[in-house]
Amino acid sequence: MSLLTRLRNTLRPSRQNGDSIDEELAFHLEARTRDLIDKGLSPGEARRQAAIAFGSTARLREETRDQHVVPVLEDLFRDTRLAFRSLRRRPGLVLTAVLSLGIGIGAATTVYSVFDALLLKPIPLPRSERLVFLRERVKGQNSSGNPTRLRDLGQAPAFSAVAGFYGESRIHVVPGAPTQVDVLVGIGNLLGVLNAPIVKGRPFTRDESLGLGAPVAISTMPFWRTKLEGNCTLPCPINLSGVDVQIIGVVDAAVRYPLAGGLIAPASLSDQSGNNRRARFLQMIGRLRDGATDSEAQAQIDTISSTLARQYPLTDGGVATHVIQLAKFEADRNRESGYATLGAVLFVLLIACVNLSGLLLARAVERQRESAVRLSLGAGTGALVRLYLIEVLLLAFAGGLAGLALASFGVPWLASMLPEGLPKATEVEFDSRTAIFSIAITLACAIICGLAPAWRASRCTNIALREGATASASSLLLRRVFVAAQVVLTFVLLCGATLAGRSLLAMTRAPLGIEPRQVLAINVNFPWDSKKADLDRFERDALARLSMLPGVISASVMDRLPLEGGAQTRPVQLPARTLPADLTARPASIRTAHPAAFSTLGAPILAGRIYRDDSAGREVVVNDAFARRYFPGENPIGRLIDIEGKGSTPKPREIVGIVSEIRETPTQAEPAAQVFLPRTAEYWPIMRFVLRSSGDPAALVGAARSELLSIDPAAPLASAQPMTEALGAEFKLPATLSAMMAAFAATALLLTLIGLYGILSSIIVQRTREIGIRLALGADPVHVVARFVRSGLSLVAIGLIPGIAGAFMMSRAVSSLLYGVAPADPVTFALPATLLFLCAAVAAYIPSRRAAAIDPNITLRHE
Amino acid sequence: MPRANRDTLQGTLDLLVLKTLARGPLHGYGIATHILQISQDFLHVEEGSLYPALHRMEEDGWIQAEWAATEAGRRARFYSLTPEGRRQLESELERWSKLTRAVQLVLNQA
Repeated sequence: MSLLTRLRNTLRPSRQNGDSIDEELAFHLEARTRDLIDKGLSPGEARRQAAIAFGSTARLREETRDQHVVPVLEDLFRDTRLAFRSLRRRPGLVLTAVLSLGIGIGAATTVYSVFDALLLKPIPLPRSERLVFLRERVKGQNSSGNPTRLRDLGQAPAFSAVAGFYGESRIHVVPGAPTQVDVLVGIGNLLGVLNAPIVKGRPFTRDESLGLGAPVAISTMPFWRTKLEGNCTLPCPINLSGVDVQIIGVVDAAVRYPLAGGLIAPASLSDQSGNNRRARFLQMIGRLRDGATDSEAQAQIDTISSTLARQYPLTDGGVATHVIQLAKFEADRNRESGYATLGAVLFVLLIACVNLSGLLLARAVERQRESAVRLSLGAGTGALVRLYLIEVLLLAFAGGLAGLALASFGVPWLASMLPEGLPKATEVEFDSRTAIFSIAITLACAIICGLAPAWRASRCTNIALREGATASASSLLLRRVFVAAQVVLTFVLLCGATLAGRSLLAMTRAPLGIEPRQVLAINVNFPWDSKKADLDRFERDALARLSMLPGVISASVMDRLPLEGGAQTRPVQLPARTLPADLTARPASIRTAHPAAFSTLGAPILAGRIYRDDSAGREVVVNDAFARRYFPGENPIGRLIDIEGKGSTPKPREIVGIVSEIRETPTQAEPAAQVFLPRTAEYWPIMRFVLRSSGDPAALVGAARSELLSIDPAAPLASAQPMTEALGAEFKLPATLSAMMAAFAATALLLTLIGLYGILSSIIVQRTREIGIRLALGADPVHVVARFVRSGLSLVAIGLIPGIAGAFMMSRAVSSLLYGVAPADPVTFALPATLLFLCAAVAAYIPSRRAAAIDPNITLRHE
Repeated sequence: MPRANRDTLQGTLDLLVLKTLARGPLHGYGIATHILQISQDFLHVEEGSLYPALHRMEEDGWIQAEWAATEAGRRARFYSLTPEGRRQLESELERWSKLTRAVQLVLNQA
C-alpha cells in the first residue's frame, strides 16, 4: 500500500512535498531556539547552538522527503529532465547522433527482417520440423526427382508420407480479363505431407490425388479471397488454360510454402502412373513419422537407393538421395549472402556507435568542470555515471525511433527487390521479431556508446576545477583507438563493396553471345501436359503472324532466353568413340531453337550452317565450348553425337554448324557446352518468342500480344518486354546487393572521416599554446599543417594493418559469392586504401589549416 | 548483528513516538522534548532520525498529521495516532516486552 502511495507522490510535482517539510523544520528550529533563549542564552547564541544541533537542513529535508517518494524513480526523473535540457543546448550532437544511429539501426533492422525471413523463421507450415527435403544427385550433380523413384523411396518406414511437386503457370480464363495463376502440381499425397489443413470444402480424394477423374484443384486462401470468393460457391468451376477445373476446397491461410498464392492441383495420371524412370523434374519432400530421425531415414533411403541402382543401373545407377531438414535446405540457399549482408550492415552500425562514443567522450571531457562541481557538492560517482548514461539512452532512444521509421519503409522496399519465386520471400515483413531485434540493437548501441563517457565520468576528480583544463591524455588516446578501429571496419567494408562491384561488373560484361538491342522477348508458358501437336501448331501460327507485323525484321522462337537458365541438360555420347571417363556423365545443355533464332538474336555463326526446320532433329548445331570439350583440336562438323542417354535407343545426330555460346545464367562459372535442335525435335512447352524490330521493340508489345491471343485466347502469355529489360531483370538482385554494399561502405567512410576530423580538432585545440609558441618562434605554417596531416594519416595507416588482415579474411569468407574476381586480388585492397588515404588527407587538412591560422599574439596573451 | 540493531533502533523509536502520541496530538519538537524529559535527559532523539521516522509512519498510516496553531499562536504540524496506529502500538509494546524478557533471561544465566 505504501509503495503505491510513494509512487503516486513521485509522480506528483515536487513543490507539494517540499514546502510543508520546510515549514515544519523551520518551526522545530524556532522552538528549540526559543527554549535556549528561555534558558538564558542570547538570541544570536541560541540560534547558533540550535542550528548546530539541528544539523544540515538540506540533508534532513531530503531524507524526510525520501520517505514520501520512491527515491530511485525521483532521481531518474530529475536526471532525465536534466539530460533533456543539456541535450537541447547541443542540437548538433543530437542531430549527428539521431542521424547516424537512425540510419544504422534502420538499415540493420531492414536487413535483419529479410535475413530472419529467409534463414531463421521456420517453414510456414504446421509441424514443419518433421519435414525433410530429398535432394538427388546424379553422378555428383544436383538433379530433380523422378515420380517412379519417388514411389520407391516412399516405402522407407521412417516416412509417414512422401510427395513431389513442381510449379507451372496457367491462365485463369475470365472473359475479358485473363490472368496468370501459379499452380503447384503435386504427386502423391502433397497436402498430407505439407500437413495443410483444409478450411473450406474438402481435400482431394485418393483417386483425385492420383490424377484419376475430372480435373480438380484446391485454392490457397489469397487466391480464394481475391478471385473466387463471392463469385462462386464450392465446388467452383473455373477455366484454366482451356480446361474446366473444379475448385473443391480452400487451404488454410497459414500454409505459405512452397506457394504463397495460386492453386494446388494433382499431377496428371500419365505422370503419376507408368514406369518412366528417366524424367527428372520433381522437388521431393517427405514427412518423418513421430520418433523417426533424419539418420534413420537416410539409412533406409540409402538401402533402397542401392537396390534400385542394382535393378535399374541405367536410370538409377550413380543416383544418391540425401535427406535434409527442409528448413536447413531452404536456409542454405541464402546462407552466405545473408550473413555477408547482415555482417556488413552491423559493421556500419558499429562504426556509427564508435563515432557517437567518441563525440560523447569529447563532451564528457568538456564537462569536467561541471562534474567536478557536482562531485564536490556531494554527488556520488554513481550519480554522475547515471546522468551520462541517461543522456546516452535518450539519444539512443531517439535514434532507435528514427531507425524504426526508416525500417518501416525499408523492409517492403527490400522485399520487392528479392527475386520472384524465392521461397519464403513472402515471409519478409516488419513483425514483432523485427521490432524486438530493433529494440535489442538500440539498447546495445546505447551500452556501446555510453561505456567510454561513463568510464570517463567515473574518473573525474576535483583537479579538473583548475582553469583551462581540457582533454586529458587518456581520453585522447581512447579516441585515437576509436578512430583506428573505425578505419579497420571501414576498410573491410570498402573492400567488400569493391569486391561486390567488381563481381557485378564482371557479370554484366561477360559476353552474352547475342545482340539484345531492338529485340522483343515474349514468354509463353504452356502447361506440361499440353499435346505436342497443339504446341507445334501454336508456334507455327504464331511465327507466321508475328513475322507479318509491321516493324518486325525477323521472328523466331526458342526454349529459354539468355541468362534465364532452366534449360534441359543431358549427358552426351559419341557413337563413334568412347569418351574420357569424366565426360560420360557430364551434362551438356540441350537447347531447342527455331533456325531463324540465331540470326534474329544476332548470335554469330562460327562455322558451317544452321539446321533446317524440317530436319526433325537429324541435324544439330553446337557451340564453341561444346566443340572444345568433346572434339578438342578437331573440326566437329560432320561428326555424330547422341543425346538420348545410356540405355535408350541411340539416335545419332549430325553436327552441321558451330555458333558462339549463348550465355545460360549470369553467374555461370565456366562456359556451357550447348547443343541446339529444332523446336519440333523435343517436347518443351515453354516458348520464348524473339522478334527483331526495326525500331523500338517496346512499340511492338501490344500488337504482338493481340496476335498471340487471337490464335488462342487462353494462351498463357507470361510477359512481353524488350530483351534488354528481360536481361536487366536477371541482374536485379546482384545489382541491389552491390548497391547496398556501396552505400554501407560510403556511410562508413563518411562516419570515419567525421571521427578523424573530430579528433584532430580536439588535438589542435589542446595544443593551441604549443602551436602559438612555435609560430611565434618562426615555424613555417606549412610545416605545422603538414605535421597534423601526417599525424592524421599515420592514424589511418595504423588502422590499415589489421584492416588488411580483416579484409583478407572477409574476402576468403565470401569467395563463393564472387564472380570473375579472385579473393586475394591486390587491386581489391589497393583501391580502397588509396581512397581512404586521400579522403583522410582532406579530412585532416581542414582542421590543420585552422592550426596554421592561429594568431600567436592571441594564444600567448591568454596566459 | 548491525542490521538487526538498526531495525531494532528504528522500531524502538517508532514505539516511543507512538506511545508519546497516545497521550494526545503533538508536533515534532514536542515529541522530541517529551521523550527527552520523561527519559530524564537520557534519550536524545535527533531531528535527523525523528522527521524521517514521523513521515514514514505517516505514509504507513499509523499516524496522521494536520497543521494547527500552538498556544503561542505559531503554525505547526501536529501528529496524532490513527486507530491502526493504536493497534500497531499494542503489538509493538508486546514485542518489546517479549524482547526484553528474552534478553534478561540470557543475561541472568550465569
